Amino acid sequence: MNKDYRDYRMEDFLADEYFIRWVKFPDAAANAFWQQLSADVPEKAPLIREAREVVYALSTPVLVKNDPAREKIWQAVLDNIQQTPVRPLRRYRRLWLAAASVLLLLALGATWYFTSSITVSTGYGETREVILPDHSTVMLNAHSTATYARSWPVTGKREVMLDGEAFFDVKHTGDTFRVQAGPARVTVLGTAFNVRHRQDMIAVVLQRGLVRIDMPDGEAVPAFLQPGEGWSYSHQQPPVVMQAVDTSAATAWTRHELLLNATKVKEVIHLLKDNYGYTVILEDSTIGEREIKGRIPMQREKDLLFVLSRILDVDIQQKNDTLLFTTK
Amino acid sequence: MQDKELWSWYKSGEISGLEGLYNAYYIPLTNYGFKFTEDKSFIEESIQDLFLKLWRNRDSIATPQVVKQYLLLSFRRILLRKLEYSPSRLEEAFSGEHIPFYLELSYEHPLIRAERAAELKKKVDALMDTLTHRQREAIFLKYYEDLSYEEIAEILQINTGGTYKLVYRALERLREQFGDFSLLVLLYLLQRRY
Repeated sequence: MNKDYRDYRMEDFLADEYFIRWVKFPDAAANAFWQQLSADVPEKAPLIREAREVVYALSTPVLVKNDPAREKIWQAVLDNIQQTPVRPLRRYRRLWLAAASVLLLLALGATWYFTSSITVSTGYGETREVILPDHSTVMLNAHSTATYARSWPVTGKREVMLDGEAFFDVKHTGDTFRVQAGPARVTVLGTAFNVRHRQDMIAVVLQRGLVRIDMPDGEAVPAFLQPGEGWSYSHQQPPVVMQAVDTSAATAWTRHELLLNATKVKEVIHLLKDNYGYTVILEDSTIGEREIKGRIPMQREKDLLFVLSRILDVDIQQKNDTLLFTTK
Repeated sequence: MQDKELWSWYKSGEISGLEGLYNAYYIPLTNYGFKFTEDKSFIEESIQDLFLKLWRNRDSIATPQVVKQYLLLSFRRILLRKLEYSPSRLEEAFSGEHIPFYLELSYEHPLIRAERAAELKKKVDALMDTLTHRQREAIFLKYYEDLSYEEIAEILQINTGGTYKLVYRALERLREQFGDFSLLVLLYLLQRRY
């Protein structure tokens, strides 16, 4: 701990036991120590960040398993010992963890209950989970705002106004729950669904339960969605109900990832605009039409840009809130 | 903590203690074994021998400082003897390089087009190929199994300083070969799960 980290090179961090231990098993003391070091020696901060990622990469070799043999070998051991197996171990630890996580959820729920405010907003690149007075949860995506009445706990009127994107997991209480997204009103009992309201378009994807969507007088007949169905509306066209929507892709953002299934690059560019506030300029506009498939980490926008640049084989330059994609 | 409990349970003659250790270490031991050989019958036999030996000698075996390191070390000794690498006798003379150890990092990802994946795989394989067998084993024990330099030294039968140097040289080699570590950073980003 008394080493002079000022002279540390990449290899020194990577081979440092205290550093590796922190990356793999972070605790409060080690967090404080490395944060302090980054603050004291700012020129080493990027190196520390990169070294962390390299430790992770080196820590994940291809894992080879041989599951079918597991029982067979143990049986052979037992046969050799010539003793019959005794009752399996009880999983004390798992029980304890489950109890702790239930307690943690209860504590979180209670905290939110007493500190609930009228408006919850997220900035660019930020997501937030909110537990409503009725213990329904709202996961708010980047650059989004959810608003509800302060009197909710008293009146019991479950209504949320949404601008942006959110995933709702609604507690079934017998009372209806409403989400107002622009002109569209989504009415539910108890269910889980994603609502996206960006610029002129609104999209709802239902994961489970049943919802009803109403538009103001005369604009459209009410729509009823079944799990796995989606509904979308843009100002030019009447609303459409879509069957067999990929709900896990629609809610991937709640797990901090982007799930792409032959998605056009220009749709990803829309997302950079909606969620991070970036305007993207393509040097070669045909890139926008390219399709990509798979899972991209989105914990930090830096990761997203880095992975995009490697996959598309482009350089990404950032100037304020503009991103320039140039072919390598 | 749990290791120690299982161990004392097993030491007191409870077979459920041994079974707990078996269940906790079946996968790590199997995975470690496959880095030395692709022939799974050697690995299966070695695991069986290890746990039989543990049971038969439970009265004479001293309680190790770190159960995991003890099991990896004992397993390695049994496996290498079966593979006829005779670790104890030759390891010093050949500085361990006669014992193969292959380490592949996870790189597969559906996002990457086939030709890019092939290219990435080639690069990562080349990266690991520039290391010696001993360096790969030290990297595996250090970063994947989280053993200390001291514990690794005991397994590889060299001193602690030598183990640190082994890891450090490996890292230096990785950088010399590729200019920087960005390939490894990419690997890390692609395989994260939330």
